[in-house]
Amino acid sequence: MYGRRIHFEDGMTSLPATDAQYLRLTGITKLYGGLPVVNDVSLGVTRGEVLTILGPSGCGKTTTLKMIAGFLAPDKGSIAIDDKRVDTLSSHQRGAAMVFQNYALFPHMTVRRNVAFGLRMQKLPAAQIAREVDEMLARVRLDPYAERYPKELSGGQQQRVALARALIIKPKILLLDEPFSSLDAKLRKQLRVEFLEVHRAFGITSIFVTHDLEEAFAISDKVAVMNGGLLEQIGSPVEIFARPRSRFVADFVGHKNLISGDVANGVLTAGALSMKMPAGTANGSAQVTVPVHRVRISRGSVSGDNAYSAAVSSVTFLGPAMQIGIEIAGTKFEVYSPSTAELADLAIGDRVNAAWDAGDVTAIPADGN
Amino acid sequence: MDRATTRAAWLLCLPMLVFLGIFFIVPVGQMLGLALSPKGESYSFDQVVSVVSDPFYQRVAIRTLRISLITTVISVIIAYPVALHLRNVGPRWQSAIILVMVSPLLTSVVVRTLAWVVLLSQRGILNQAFTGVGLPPMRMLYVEGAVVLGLVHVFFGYMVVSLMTSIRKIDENLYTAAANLGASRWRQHLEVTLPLSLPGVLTGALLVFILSASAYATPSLLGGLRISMLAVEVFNQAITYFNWPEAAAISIALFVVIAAIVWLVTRVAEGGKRKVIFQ
Repeated sequence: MYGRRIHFEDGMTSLPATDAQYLRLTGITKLYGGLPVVNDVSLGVTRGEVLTILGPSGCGKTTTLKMIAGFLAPDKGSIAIDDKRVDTLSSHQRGAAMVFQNYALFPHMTVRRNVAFGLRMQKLPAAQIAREVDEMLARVRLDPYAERYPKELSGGQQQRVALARALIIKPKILLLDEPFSSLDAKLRKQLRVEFLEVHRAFGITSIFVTHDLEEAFAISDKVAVMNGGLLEQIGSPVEIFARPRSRFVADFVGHKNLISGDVANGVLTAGALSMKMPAGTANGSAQVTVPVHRVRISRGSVSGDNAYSAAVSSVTFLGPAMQIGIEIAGTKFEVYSPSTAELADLAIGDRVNAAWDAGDVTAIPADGN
Repeated sequence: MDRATTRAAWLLCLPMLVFLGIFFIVPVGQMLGLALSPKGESYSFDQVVSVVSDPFYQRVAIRTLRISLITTVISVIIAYPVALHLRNVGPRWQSAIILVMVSPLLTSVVVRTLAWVVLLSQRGILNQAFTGVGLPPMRMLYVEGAVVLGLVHVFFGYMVVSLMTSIRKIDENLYTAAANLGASRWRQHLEVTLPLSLPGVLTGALLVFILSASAYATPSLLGGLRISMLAVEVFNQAITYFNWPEAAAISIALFVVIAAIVWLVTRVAEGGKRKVIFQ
């Protein structure tokens, strides 16, 4: 059984090679009408972890998932599960079980028959099927609903049926295609928790597709950001957020303060603005982000490697946090600050002090990767 | 619905209700009166009982039901693959195929049926072909098979349309899900298409059955005097023998039998475990 692990920098090095590359995509490409919708994507997924493929619609994430599932064949590249090439195998043979966007439960079958479906297709003895189904239903807490039909269940229960139906065939990997996307925010969060519970209990390697950043961060050990068919970056949520490797990723994961300028002797100059860069930053032109949550704001004094006087240009109260727009030396910044008493009556035009450390300034490679 | 909308709904239905009242309920009521009280005197079931207990009519009734049932079964069998195929073709092919399917409905029943007479008769095209290659001529007209053939030809379009409606509603992901869980192409159809198309099968089957059981033109032209069906007997009694009370009694017997069968089939299909599918 594999627990959920958080990888901060590189969680893969400590694991045996086959575990670290339990699912491996090597240069997979899918063309539609000559144009690549998925372009030379390579990635590895560690056994037992949740990888989320994140990106805007049309980025190729669902196509990638369908190729892993075996519903689509890649035009180039190969897919291996557990060190075995599976490109030519059907989705069933390769041990990839899918949870569909709308769950695709069989509407004419009871919960029990839905869950039993995969085992019936294997032509197992009826007694064994009954036993395994009962066990599975108990594990996902569906035993009271065994004789109900899908439409008589809540969204959360339907998801558990879909998970149970997929897990009962003991797949090597579990694939989930935006299973929460059609639901309201509250239910999504609840289903997220339920999915994580099931994942924890079964420890199955899972690939999750979503366009929702918060969802991706909340459930994943690793996030792969895709854009325009290309894999932009893969890493832990913390890594992706703290060290975006392209402007697209920075923008997509919520960085607002992207600044281009020239670095000389560890100081970046962009117009009238200059800021200290982390030690060891090379000279030359650079693109950097100042994370919204690392900027400290106060009416009094604040300390930091980069300290400025700023004018407030917008204030949005969000409850526990405030979204504050400030202008420093002609450059606009967006800042997320805790809603402290001191900032309670902050108004547009007020003067504040703002500061952040050189180590929080993150350079983004200019060419994407 | 509030009261105003309810009233508006009834008002909108009014023209249809008036039409049905004048041209359907009244004549049927008159026919009922004719069967129960032939001479306009006291009401009795004598006429109906004499028709129902007549061995000739019993034979015709059984033949009517048998032919209708066979027609229905054959329609399902040949319409199913067509409806299934329609799921997989593009919209343009879909309209083309549907047009071909319902094209028999665009010409008069008599014309279509006479075409079968030309094909099947003693000296028809088929028999000429048989004798041409040295085979003895075959009796293909005025047999039950000819009537079934004609009825299938006329009515199976209804079956296709009805089946297609329910097959097209099936979520494509259900097939992908079934395949993902190890179901072969054949098993997918058995586990997904078949059960989920049952509402369409039921609607289509009831339509074809009712239409066949009450068909007149096709059985009278292709069955002749030998293979008579109830609707043909109604016509004979009313028009040939001018025996309206007896014709009315046969009609009522036919109506009751069909209504009973429809009610029974619907009850069985929609009751119990199957209700989920049919809702």
